[in-house]
Formats: sequence, C-alpha cells, structure tokens
Amino acid sequence: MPNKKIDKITQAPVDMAAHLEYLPEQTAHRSKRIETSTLKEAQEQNYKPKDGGINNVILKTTASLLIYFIIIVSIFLYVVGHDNPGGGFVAGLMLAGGVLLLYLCFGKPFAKNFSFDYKLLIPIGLSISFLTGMAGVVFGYPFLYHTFGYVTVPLFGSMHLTSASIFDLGVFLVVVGTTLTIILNIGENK
Amino acid sequence: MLIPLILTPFIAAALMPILSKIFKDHVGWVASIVTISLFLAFISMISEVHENGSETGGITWIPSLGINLTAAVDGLSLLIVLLITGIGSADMIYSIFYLHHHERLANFYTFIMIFMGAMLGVCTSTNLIALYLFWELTSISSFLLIGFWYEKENPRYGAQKAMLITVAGGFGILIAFLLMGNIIGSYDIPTLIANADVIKSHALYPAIVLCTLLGAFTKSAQVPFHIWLPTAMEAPTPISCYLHSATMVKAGIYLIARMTPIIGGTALWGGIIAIVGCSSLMFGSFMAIRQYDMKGILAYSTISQLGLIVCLLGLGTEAAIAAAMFHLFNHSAFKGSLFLMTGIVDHQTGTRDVHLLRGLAKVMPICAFVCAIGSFSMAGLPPFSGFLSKELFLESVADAPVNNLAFLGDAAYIIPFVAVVASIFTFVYSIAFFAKIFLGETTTQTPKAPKEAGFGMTLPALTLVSMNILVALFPGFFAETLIDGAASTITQTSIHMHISFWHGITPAFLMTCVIVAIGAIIYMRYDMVKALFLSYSSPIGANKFYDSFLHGLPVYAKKLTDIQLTGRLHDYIGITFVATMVFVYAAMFRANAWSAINLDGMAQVDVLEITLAIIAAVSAVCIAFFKRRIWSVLALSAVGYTVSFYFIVMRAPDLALTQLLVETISTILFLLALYKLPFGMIPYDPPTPNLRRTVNGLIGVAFGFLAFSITMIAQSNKLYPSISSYYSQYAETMGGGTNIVNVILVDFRGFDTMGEICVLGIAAMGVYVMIKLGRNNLFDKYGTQPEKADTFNDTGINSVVIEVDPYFQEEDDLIPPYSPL
Repeated sequence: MPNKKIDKITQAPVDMAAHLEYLPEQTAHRSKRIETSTLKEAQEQNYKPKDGGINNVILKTTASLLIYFIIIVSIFLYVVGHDNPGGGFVAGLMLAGGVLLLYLCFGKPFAKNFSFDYKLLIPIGLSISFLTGMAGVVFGYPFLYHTFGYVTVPLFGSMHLTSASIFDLGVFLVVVGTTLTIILNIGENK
Repeated sequence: MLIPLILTPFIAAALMPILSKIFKDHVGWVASIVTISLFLAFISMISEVHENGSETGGITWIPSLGINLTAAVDGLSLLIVLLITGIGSADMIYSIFYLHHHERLANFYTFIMIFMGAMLGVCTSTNLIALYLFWELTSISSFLLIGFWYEKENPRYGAQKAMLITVAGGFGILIAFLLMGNIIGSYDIPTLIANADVIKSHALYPAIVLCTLLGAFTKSAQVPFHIWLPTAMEAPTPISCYLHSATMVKAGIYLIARMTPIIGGTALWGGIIAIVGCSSLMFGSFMAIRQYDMKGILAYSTISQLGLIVCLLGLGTEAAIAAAMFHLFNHSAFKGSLFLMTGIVDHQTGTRDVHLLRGLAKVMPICAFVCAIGSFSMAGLPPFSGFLSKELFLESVADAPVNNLAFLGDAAYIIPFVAVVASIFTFVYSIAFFAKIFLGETTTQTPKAPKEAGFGMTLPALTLVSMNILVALFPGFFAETLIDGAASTITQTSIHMHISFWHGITPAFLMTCVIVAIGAIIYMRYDMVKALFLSYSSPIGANKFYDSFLHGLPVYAKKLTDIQLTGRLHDYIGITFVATMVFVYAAMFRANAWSAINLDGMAQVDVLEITLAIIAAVSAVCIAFFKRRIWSVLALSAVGYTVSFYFIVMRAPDLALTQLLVETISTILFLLALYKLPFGMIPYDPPTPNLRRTVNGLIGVAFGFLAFSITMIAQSNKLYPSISSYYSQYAETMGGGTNIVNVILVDFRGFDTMGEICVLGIAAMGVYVMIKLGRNNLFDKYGTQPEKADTFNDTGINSVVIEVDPYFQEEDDLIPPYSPL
C-alpha cells in the first residue's frame, strides 16, 4: 500500500493542473466534450474554468498564436544553421515541438484533423539527403561531397548557399517525421 | 569469354519472369536453348584446354581484399562443367514435358538457371571467396527447387533440412578458406597450390581439413550428413535428377578434388575421406534395399555411389583418382537416366511405389531399356561403363591396405571387405530395381493405366543412358578427352589411363566374381532379405538427432532467453550496467587508471556551476524516491534542463538548444506514455523488495562513479591533439560555414548523419508498427479495457484526451481530485 500522505501531497497539484478545466456539472456532457477542440466551440458551450486554476483556454489561445512564431523560428534555425547556432536537427525538433504543442492543447480532435501524413516526411527526407550525396558521385566526386558558393539574389543581396543545406533539409524532414510519428502514435488514444 | 559464359545463366534467370510472360508455356524451350548453347560453347573449349592446360578469364571485384571473380577451365573444371551443361540440356528438355503448364514455370526455370550459373561458378572459380559465394548460391537454389511445391508439408520440410545442413557445411568451408587466406595472404587457388607446403605444416592445418571436409561431406550427402538427400526427393523429378544426383551433390566431390593439391595427400586427409566414403558406400547400399519409393532407392543409391567416389579420392593414388573421375562421369550418366526413367514411370502410372509397379516392360519398352542399362551399369555388370569404373575401384581398394592406407595397419583390410559387401548390396538393389518393376505380369494396381511416354521425355533419358554404352565402346577416347585431364589436375602430374574390359585374373576380377555370385544368391531370396532388413530399426539415427535438434533449439533458446528477459526494465538496465562495469572496472584496476587523474589546469568552478550540480544531483536522487511516475519524469527532465543550462554556461549554444528541445520532446513523450500506464508506480505488482532496491541503488552509484572516473581520466590525459582545431580551421574554407558543429554534422561527418537519420527513420517505423499492430496486446497485462485504463492516468495532461473523467474514482488509493493539500 503506498504511503497515502505522500500520495495526497504529490497528487493534489497534479489533479489541480489536470482537472480544473470544467465544472462538475459538465461531466454529464462527456460525449460532447470530445468535440470541443477549438476555443470557439468551448466558448459556445460556455465552459467555465474553476477559480484559481490554470485556464486551458489561455493555453489554447496562446498556442494557436505561438505556432506561427514557432514555425518561423524553426525555419530561421534551419536557414542560419550553417553559420550560426541552429541546423536541420534542431529546427526539426522545434517544428515537431510546435505541432506537439497544438496536439497537447487540442488533443485527439487535433490529431484527427491533422490530415497531413507526417510518416511520408521520413522517406522524403532520406531521399533528399541520399540524392544530395549522390549528386557528388554524378560529378565524379566521392559520395556526400559538398560544395558551396555565393549567389546574388535580388532583394536579399548576396546569399550564401551550400549543398550541405540541402542535405540538412533532409535531416530536418526526417527529424520532424520521426518525432511526430513516434509521439503522435504513442499519444493516439485507442 | 569465360566470365560471360558463367554469367549467361544468371542473365537468363533475371529475364525468365519476363520471358515466361512472352512465351507462356513454352518458356522451357528458352531455358533449353540457353543450356544447349552453353554446352556447345564448353565443348568447343576442349581442344584449347588440351593444348594450353586451361582457359582463364576474370574481372576484379574487391582487389584490396584479394577477392576477384577469376575463373579458369582446366581438366577438372571441364569435366564437371560438361556434366552440368550436358545433363542440364537433357534435363531442361525433359522438364518441358514433365511439368504441367499450370505449374509455376517461371519460378522453376528462374531457380534452375540460378542453380546452373552458381554451379558453373563453383566449378570454374579460382578465387576461394568467389567459389564460396557460388557454393552458397547452389544451396539456396536447391532450397528453392526442393520447395518448389511449397503448398505441401513434405517439400517444405525437405527444403529446410537441405538448406540447414548444406549451409552449415558452407559455413565450414568459409572458415577453412579464410584460414587458408590468412596463412598465405591470397585467395587465389594457383597461389595456394604453390604454397601448399606452408599450409600443410601450419598448426591450424587439421582445422582447415576438418572444416573443408565438413562442407564437402554435407554437400555430397556423406554419412552422417546424408539425411537431407532422401527428403530432398520431394522436389520435382527433373530437379532430383539434375541437382540431387548428377551435379550439385558432386560439388562436394569437386571441392575435395580441387583442394587435394592444396591440403591433400596427408594421412589425416586421406584417412578421414576414405573412412567416411566407405561408411557412406556401405550405409547407402544397405538403406537402398529397405526403400519402396523408387526415388528413395535412387537417393540412397546416390549416397552410396558418392561414397564410392569420395573413398577413391581418399585413397589418393593416381589410379584411384583417375578411377574416381571416371566413376563420377559414369554415375552421372546412369543415375541421371534412372532418375529420368523414374520420372516417366511416375508421370505415366501415377505412383513410384515398387509394391504397386510390376511388369511395365510390356507397356513401356523404352523405359525398360533405359532402366536395364542404367541398373546393370550401376550394378557393375559388363558390358557397360559402370563395370569399367567399378573394376578400377575394386583394384584401388584391393591395393589400399598395402599401399597408401598402410598406416592403418591390419584395420585397413576392412576397406576392401566393406567395398565387397557394399557392392553385393548394390548389385542386389540394382537388379531388383529393374526386375521387380519391369518384369513379370503387368500391374493393374497403379492409379493410372501405364503407357509409354512421349518422345520428349524418353529421348533425354535415352541420350543419357546411351552414354553408358558409348563409354564402354570407346573408353580410350573418353579417358583421353575428359578423365585424364581431370585426374591430372588433381594430382598435378600427367596421367594416362588405360581402360579395358579384361585385365587378366586380378584381385579386382575375383572380387567382381564374388560380388556377382553372392549377389545372385541373395537376389534369389530377395523378399526374405528385404523383410529382414526392414525388421531392423536403429535406435539412434542422424534423422532423430536432426529432428530433436530442430525442435529443441527454439525450446532451449527460449528457456535461456527467459532467464535473462524478465520483463522488468530495471533488470535489463541492471544487467547491461553490471556487464559493462565488470569489463571496464577490470581494465581500470589492472592499469591502476585512477592514478592518471590529474587536476592541474582545471578551470575554476563557480558558484553557479555548483548550484546547477546540486540541482541536478537532488533531482536525480528524487527520481528514485518519488512514488509517482509523473514526478519521476518531471525530476528527470529537471536533470536534463540543468544539463542544458550547463551548456549555456560553457558557451555551447548549439548543444544547449538541442538539449532543451530534446528534453522537451522526450518529456512530452514520457507523459504520453505514462498516460497509458495505470495509476501509481506498479499497483498490481508487489512492491519492489528492499534488497532489490538496495542492489539497484548500488549498481546505479557504481555506474555513476565509473562514468565520473572515465570523464576525469579522459580530461586529464590528452594522448592525441584534439581534432577541434582542424575543424575550426577548415570549417569555413572547406565546409562553407562558420558554425563548426553544423559543418561537422552535415559536411565533415555527413556520412554519420546519414546513418543516424536512417536509424531515426527505422526507429519511427518500428514504433509505428508496434503501436499499430500490437495495440490490442500492448496493455493487456493489466487486464483493463482501454476506457477504464484511461481513468487511471496520472499524467496530469487532461486536454490530450478530453474525455478523461476527473471525478471517476474506484480504486482505494485514488485521491479525490479537490482534496486540500
């Protein structure tokens, strides 16, 4: 038998964090709640958060705004990766983290509506990386031989381009695909 | 010229699925044309081989390892290659008429073409590794062909047995080849022959001999590895004829012959080969009498006849080796024709049971003719070729005790005795094979009324059996064209055989007289002898061993695995840690590694770093003592975040960024996984005993100390200059980037990253498959329905699955959600 006292102390905050979302009277509408995946629906159904608790609605609202910034930061990390902290791996994790944030906020209905087949990212990414490596072979260099150069693009000025970035794109896609495949499948209920 | 010839069957095999779509039922003709052209091409080589000694060709493959696809046709190769393509041609044409058009013809001809290519490769390769590869390919194609009718149980069993035994032997020859390659430094057979004395005087010589012979004996179905051959008779008859009597089983003999100039000629080599050969000769002829399936008789007869050839090679005199090559040729001719005849009988009557078959000579005269010549040749009766080689065999055997097996002393006299007894049995079953089936009243018991087969099936059988007569008529011509060259290759001397029917009153002639006389007497009482033989049942046997092994292996493997795989993650990690520690601590104690710790030049430690260390340590200890998984997980991520904070302090932004994100994602993953688990730690298991907890704790502390020690030692001793300066120097000029970490990841060590993302992809697929396919079984341990299990979550994430009911409580230890602190 576990120590009840310790259990009470440790469990209470968890329960508060976990279950402050709805008033007791709403338990009758369990089946309905599955549908409340968006803020708008939640408002329509007039769910009242319990006093003093963490309002899930706030999290949902912030998350749906934050996701744009997360995507931008992720792309930023990828682009600057070759010269500054970042890179395909980190960028991939960041983007996957953003998607997971949405998943945490909106739950299963989000996974249902998230019709994009993230599994496909893994073979696509692997192919991109592999083909980048093979490009070297085609030009008579060893496998995974990389080249780089500076290209002048209107509006952006001189841009630093490397073939390693294309390889990195493959890494990025594989990381996103892998993370989402593992976590969304484990998290998927039933 | 040679390499394209060897590759032709493989190309034909690759095209066979397409060709079978184009030519439909007539695809067999394509295979036949390919085989006949190859036969003619090799025939045209005869004169060149006679003039130059050999015809060579080759392409480099992995020259740095000494592995090349080099090939040469010398006398020995020429004999075997002509058998492969010659009997192959007869067999392909035969199979066109034998197989129904609704059979999987594309499979059949693809496999048989792969086999033929592999066999040509085995017999012509002059590189040991190439020879080994082709050798294994023959085993695989044999597996596919035995299992041709894979809907049935017996072919599957036979295919598996043949595969397991021959591949085990193939492993033996791989070991032998690698040993030889290591001793000499080359896999090239001519080089090895030149250095034969070095190998023979090497300490590992006995191991090389045993491993080589293991491969040869398994392939040639010698006692006690013979058991796969009778069950392999489940294959279609053309396959039994081609692979399992005429060619593939000869590969073992070929190997012995090919290796004789390298490792042969010693007492160990000759003794083992002669004894095993004699045992197979005796055992096969004894077992053949017990059979009532025609193919069963022929299978054991093949074991026996191969034993005869192996025995001759073991005797090792020039005469014996010439006799071995001669008998090899004759055996392929008469055994091949007998198999084809058996196939015709099976095809036309619907059975191969010798109890049902009687007096077929009247309705199937051509088959009777084929069978008569084939059986008499097998029995060693004049005037057929079998008599000639049998006579040479008896001569060599009579000579053995006083000549080259003299080291065995008086025991060597058992060999001529065994040879005579086995030959008597051979005589009996050969005569019975013909007489019981073809003579007497015509049977009415067969499933189909017997009638003579079409020309397409009888012609190949007639062609093969006519060789027995032709060789007997012109023995000198055949000896000169094929046998002399083959025997000379083995002995590395020049051999000229003189074959004739009458040598005068020699021991061999007297032995033949004894054999025929006693054989005839036994045949008079054939039914009684057969009943006597059948009444004996061996309590031990290779088959019983094989079956119990096949059955026992997974059982005992599971028992062994169950000891280690307890299903508890802490046991697994405990075992891993202890095993690691045993080795690493042992090495560290031996080298007194701690004395190497040198604290000079260490950076000053700040308050910030000490604080972080305390946070990490306290969190780590808390992981072990928290009662709830959720808290342990959060404490774990606290450790991880602290580490990423360290990276920031140490000015490694890349690492810090990665660590933060990985930590976040893995925490989310943990929480989602916890959601699936029941409430508490392990509510349905008894609490972990204190002893186990203590042991686990000690393991943890010891491992932590190990990691700490290694870090300190590595930090204090820089054996080599760090590579970092190289990277920082060249990252921009060679990698085109200023972020060294990323340049290393995608450019300098891009291949590593490539491998890592492959692993990531594979891991994702694995998780996906496990979750999707194992979903129904995954959480069954707790015996709860998924909905109920949901209510026992302690993840604290309720919005992941919104239907969580916070007010549901059933278990005693579930605390009301709003209870005050």
